[in-house]
Amino acid sequence: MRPFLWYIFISVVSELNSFFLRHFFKNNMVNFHLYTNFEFVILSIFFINTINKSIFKKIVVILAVLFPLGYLIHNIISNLFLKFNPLFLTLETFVLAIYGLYYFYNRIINEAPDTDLIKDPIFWIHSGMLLYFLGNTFLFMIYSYSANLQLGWHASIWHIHSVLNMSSYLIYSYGLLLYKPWKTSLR
Amino acid sequence: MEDKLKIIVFAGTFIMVVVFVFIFLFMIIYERKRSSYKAELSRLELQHQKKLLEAIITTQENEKQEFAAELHDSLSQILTTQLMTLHGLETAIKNPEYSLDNLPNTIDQLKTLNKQSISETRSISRKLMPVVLNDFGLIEALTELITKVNESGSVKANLYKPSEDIRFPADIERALYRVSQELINNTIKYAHAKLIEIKVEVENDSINYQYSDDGIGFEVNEKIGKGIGLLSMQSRISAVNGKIQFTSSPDSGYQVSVIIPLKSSI
Repeated sequence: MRPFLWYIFISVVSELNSFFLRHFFKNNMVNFHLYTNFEFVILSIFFINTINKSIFKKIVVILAVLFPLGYLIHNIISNLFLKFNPLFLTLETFVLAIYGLYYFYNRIINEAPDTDLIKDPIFWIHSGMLLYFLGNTFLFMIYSYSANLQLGWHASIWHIHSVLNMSSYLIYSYGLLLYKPWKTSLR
Repeated sequence: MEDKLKIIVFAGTFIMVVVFVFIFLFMIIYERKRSSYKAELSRLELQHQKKLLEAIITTQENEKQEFAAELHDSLSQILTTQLMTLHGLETAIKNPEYSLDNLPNTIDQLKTLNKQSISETRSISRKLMPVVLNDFGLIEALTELITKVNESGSVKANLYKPSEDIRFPADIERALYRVSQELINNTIKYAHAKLIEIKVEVENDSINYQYSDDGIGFEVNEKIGKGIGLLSMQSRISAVNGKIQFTSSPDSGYQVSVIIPLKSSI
């Protein structure tokens, strides 16, 4: 659970930083690139902690190392440091959505069904992640497509993205409320 | 532009609906699996409880049989001889030709038989409940047991005990002593071991008891299903709210770990 709490914390910091960068420098893409890589790595760590298959864990570790490297190389080659990188963003959300789907598969096939899902914070966090990343995979694919055809869909895509973002954060909040150390410290 | 917007809104809504339906279906399937898992768990628990109960009854029956055999084979024989001697004396006294010179011999014989029956009664009583266990507690009783095992020469035994004298509730002491007897008995009979080690510690308000031998080992799951020995030990430890774990495999000796909470039983 700790990696996820770090993820939430860094997300808030990054959001604030992004706001100030945009306000003062008109471009916050460097912050966005850093955040995307951080998001991928920290959610991979969170995912590793919630599954029990060692082979899949190894694959996740390898991808967590390769992704930032690939991202950096692609940004250098395509000179995208101050621009949006839809390819790697789609790739990131796609891989994290696959992790989410694997979590559900693993939960139903390999793990003993001995917990109450309604009271399981990890289940709700994975549900939020699946909603956000699966939804965004399609959205970023549409984004790449519309960018290639010079179609003006971008604003609408970001509106849908905001709805997905809010929905997933609502689910995360419910999951975090169920988190036991959290509950005891609130009492 | 309006059409494009509609498509994107539709796509976004569709994705969200698909994910929500997926999560909802997952929850239904998981809950179904969970209820059958719970049913299976309670069935296994019931089966285990039944086996434990059977083991308790069988152990009690075996102990009664052993006790009956001890009484019949030793004490009963001595008392019968005593009775026959008394009958003989009665018949002899009625005979006018009986010489009183023979009386001291007969009395000596009766005294000897009487002493034997007292000694035999004590021996049976000690087997049923060692005096040292009642008077001095588990650690002293285990020390005596280990000394006897070492004196027998069949196997070397070591006891690692707490540095200070410590007494536990009587039911726990009895359970652990019986389990130790059973374990030592099993090791001597079947394990071909050279070394037995028993360790008793008190940690976090629990008794931590460890037993190990370096014998030939066995498949624990097979033995638990077949014999009542392991089940009987399990039932004794369960009766004092403890947990027992057997670990062994062929050629890797035999290890038993027992944890008994002290708070609930005091």
